[in-house]
Amino acid sequence: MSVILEVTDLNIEFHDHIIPETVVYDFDLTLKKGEIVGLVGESGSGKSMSALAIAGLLSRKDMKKRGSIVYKGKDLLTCPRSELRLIQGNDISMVFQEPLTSLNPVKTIYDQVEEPLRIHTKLGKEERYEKVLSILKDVELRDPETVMRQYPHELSGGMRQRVMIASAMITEPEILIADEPTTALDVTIEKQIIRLLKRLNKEKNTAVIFISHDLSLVNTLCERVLVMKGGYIVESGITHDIFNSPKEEYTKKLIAAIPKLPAGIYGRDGNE
Amino acid sequence: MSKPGILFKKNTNLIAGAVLIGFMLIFMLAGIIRTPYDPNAMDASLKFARMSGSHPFGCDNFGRDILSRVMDGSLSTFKVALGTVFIGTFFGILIGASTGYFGGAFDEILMRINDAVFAFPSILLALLFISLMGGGTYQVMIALGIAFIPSFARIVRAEFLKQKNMDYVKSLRLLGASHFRIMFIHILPNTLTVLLSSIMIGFNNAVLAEASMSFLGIGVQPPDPSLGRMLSEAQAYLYKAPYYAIFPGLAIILLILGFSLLSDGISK
Amino acid sequence: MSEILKVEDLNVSFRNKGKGFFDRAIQKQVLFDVSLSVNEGEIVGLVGESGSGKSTIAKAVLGLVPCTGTVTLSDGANPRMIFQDPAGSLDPSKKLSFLLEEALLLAGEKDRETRRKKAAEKLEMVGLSREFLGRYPRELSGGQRQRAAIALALMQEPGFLIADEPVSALDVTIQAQVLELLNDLQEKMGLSILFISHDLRVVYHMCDRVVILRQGRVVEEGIPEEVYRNPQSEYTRLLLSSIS
Repeated sequence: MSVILEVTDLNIEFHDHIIPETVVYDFDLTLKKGEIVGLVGESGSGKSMSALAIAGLLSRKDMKKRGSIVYKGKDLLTCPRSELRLIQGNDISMVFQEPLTSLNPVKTIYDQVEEPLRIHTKLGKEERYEKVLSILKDVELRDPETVMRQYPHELSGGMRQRVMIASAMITEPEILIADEPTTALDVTIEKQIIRLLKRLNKEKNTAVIFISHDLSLVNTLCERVLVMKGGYIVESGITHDIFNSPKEEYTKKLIAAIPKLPAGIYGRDGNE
Repeated sequence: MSKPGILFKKNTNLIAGAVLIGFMLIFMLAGIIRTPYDPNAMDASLKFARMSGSHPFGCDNFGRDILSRVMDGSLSTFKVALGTVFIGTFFGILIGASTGYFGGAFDEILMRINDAVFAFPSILLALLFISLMGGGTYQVMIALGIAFIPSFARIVRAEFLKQKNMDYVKSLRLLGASHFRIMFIHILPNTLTVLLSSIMIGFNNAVLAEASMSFLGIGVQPPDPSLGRMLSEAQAYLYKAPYYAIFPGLAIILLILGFSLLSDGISK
Repeated sequence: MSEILKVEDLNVSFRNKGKGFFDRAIQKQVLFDVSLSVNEGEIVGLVGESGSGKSTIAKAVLGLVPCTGTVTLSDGANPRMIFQDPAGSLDPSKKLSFLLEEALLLAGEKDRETRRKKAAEKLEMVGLSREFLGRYPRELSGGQRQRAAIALALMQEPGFLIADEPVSALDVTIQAQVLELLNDLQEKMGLSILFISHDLRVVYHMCDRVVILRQGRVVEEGIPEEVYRNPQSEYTRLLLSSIS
């Protein structure tokens, strides 16, 4: 598989206080086409900041120190802004934790899902409609014709998150960054969304960077995982290995903190 | 885990505002202790005297020292602004806190009255009061103060509406705290940042309102100097003695700029 | 064992005022004939997803919402609540010493020295040193803040605590510590706790009994061990199989 994204030595430093505050130190990540990588850490670990940097949503002056984010041979930190705009939202798109605040409350679902197409493609009205309809079907929304005429507040949390995923996936991006996409949702919905992400990843061969605080969730979804703490990557590797035999003290602590259910509980007999 | 406090944040607005207002306060305080000349002493020989070592801001059409008059005038403008904001904030807090916290029909009625007062331009409202009560420093203060109540009441009400649904309020109710205690000991301090920043904007508007009223001749009455009236008098001599208009104008600009920078800095 | 809380046929509905001035209010029922009980010294888990009405039960028990049905609290219950987000449950403008001592003042404790001493004691009981008395809530980490909130809830010596998702806003490693603290306190002080949560894994470890709620109705109730191994309702099965 070919490497599509290579982040090396990324440092993020904020300057809104007199003493500069570094939130991410020497972040490295290699992403191959179509793989799912997990980014795990607690609050303040720098996982979301790293993701925002990759999505091109941070100010470049905060990442001056050194390092590069190379997407298909182009360094996103130094390339002209016009090129960055072509990649943003087209090749790399993002889904956030709270679908209610990341959707515009006064626009219909159709307008919001269609918007990336208006920005990044020259498709005609009919073609855009067809695409929106098919992506809404793709994210398993029941009755997409009705949903597209509705407003965000008329949908449930799970449906809103599906809409967010639809709008992120409509340009068929190479990379989808999902920042705690299920944290605000109920467990039963969480499971559906995870299943959806897995399916889209397989069908469309989109690489996914999945950010979460929940190591057990990451274990069900991601092949590889990076564990972050205080701005550093403390451990990385194959999720299954790390989950079963963690090397770092911190990773052990994270795993120990997950409340376990003993065997014999309903639905825990390995049928998943 | 404690983040560096507000003081360690880069806050150029706050610093610049504090410096400007500090400078104006020293300027006015100096005026209380001693002005270089009696601000009301006339001297025909000094009529329209140019800026010089003995009269750094020059003299006006009656030969009065402009520096002394600007010092005194700034002070009376500031006093009016202070009184106005005090009246506006005090009653604004009372009305806003009780309507925001209790809600219901009481809120409905009071806020509709508030809207009615709010719909009037404050200067026009003040004019009405002045015509009923007569001119003078205290009358201006009260008139402008009443006109300022609605805007403060609105801000305080909005904050109380937001805060009253916080969990700490529920927790205090469970601990047996009275409504009065929750409103004024717990919620009010939490509205302080918003309140302070709007008090600063209030100061601004009050300085402007006082100056415009004095400019129209219904504010502070002669012979007490006032920045607004000095400006209106200077209008006639704009070509002959431009400094007569410049210095009172500058004092107003510095006050307003200072307060608006402070307001920006606080709300950051 | 005697019951510290007994809820029978609890019904709660809210009036949704229409948007316009003349719109008619709509009744929306959120709890339907809910019955549950908490015995003395017991931790009962209340599990449900968003909109199941689990927080509404807590509010009804504390008398914060109007309801029909009977809520009986035994004499020593004196219920207090721990909220989900410790950032919102402590007044941000006051130091911890003020908040903790205020609780005693409101309970009628006149002596200042006693108040001080007790505040420090309670703080130490939840694992915070007395230096924290001089701090503001914002100077504390999430876990420390939740500990302080627990100390505040304990100031008036309640026999019964309602914990509404007390750890869901915290990091996983901190969650375990706070849960352990609640367990300890329950054992030491003989507290009874109504533990509201959406996390079945946490409830399994914390609770003596579990009540499962769906859209305002109790769908299943029992000892976690039995409920988790052999769930009777379809919904409980769905919940259990959704755990990652």
